[in-house]
Amino acid sequence: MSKVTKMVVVSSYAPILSKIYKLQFDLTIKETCFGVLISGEEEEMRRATDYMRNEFGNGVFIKERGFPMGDVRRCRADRGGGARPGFYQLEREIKMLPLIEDSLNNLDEEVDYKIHPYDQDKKMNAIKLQKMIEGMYK
Amino acid sequence: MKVFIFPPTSLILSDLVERFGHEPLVMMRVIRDKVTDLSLDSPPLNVTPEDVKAGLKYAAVDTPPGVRGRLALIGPLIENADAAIIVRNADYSFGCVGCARTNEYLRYMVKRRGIPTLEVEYPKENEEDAKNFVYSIEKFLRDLKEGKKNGRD
Repeated sequence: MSKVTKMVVVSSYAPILSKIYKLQFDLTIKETCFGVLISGEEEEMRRATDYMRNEFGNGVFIKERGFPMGDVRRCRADRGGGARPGFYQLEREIKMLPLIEDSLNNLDEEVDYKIHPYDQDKKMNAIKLQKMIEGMYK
Repeated sequence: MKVFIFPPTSLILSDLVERFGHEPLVMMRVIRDKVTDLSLDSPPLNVTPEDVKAGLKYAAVDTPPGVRGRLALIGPLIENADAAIIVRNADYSFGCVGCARTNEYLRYMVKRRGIPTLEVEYPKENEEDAKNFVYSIEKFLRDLKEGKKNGRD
């Protein structure tokens, strides 16, 4: 089993750290400004993430992290400060989390909500293309 | 089913795909395998000549190495994907995916594979947009059937 690291991001304050400590998961945990970083064996990690999703519902968002916690190649303390590479995207997405959480909370209730399809790129009709070309050379 | 997400480091997409019962194919997993591999061939990031060769599968030798390197990591994800969710106009594709040409090429690769694809846009500060974003993804993932696995090639 390999070690994995996950980022748990909260859309608003949630006492994740204390709850995880209380249940004594065999994980390394670090509290950050956006939530917590957890690291440990895959099986234990799965138990912890399942627990967090059940306990905090749609308020927690979890993703994997490539580098281990405190890795000198990424840690700000060793790189002379500044944002960690990749934090900008995370920062922008964190701003959207309250909206996403609200939508997830209403997912079951609003069964009649009509989805507005995004404009999907469609293949151009061959006949239309032919007419355009013919029009160009008239 | 395995779902490729774009941007491949996205927190929201990665979480939603996992939440709705599928496996997100993300950049972080590729990076993790690379940087935590016991046999560090080429510290600090363990990029070896083999990676350069892998990139040549997707782009010509005169393509900038930044593009080829990214494709070497992200290309296999698309090859293994059964479906894809792409966020259009993700103007902050910083970090590991901050290359416009690579992003275009990745969209092209997804389309060429012919796998079921959903293209969405990040919600602005609007509740309706957010609902549309989440519900579209939920519906797309719910409708994914095992029979529709893998695309043309």
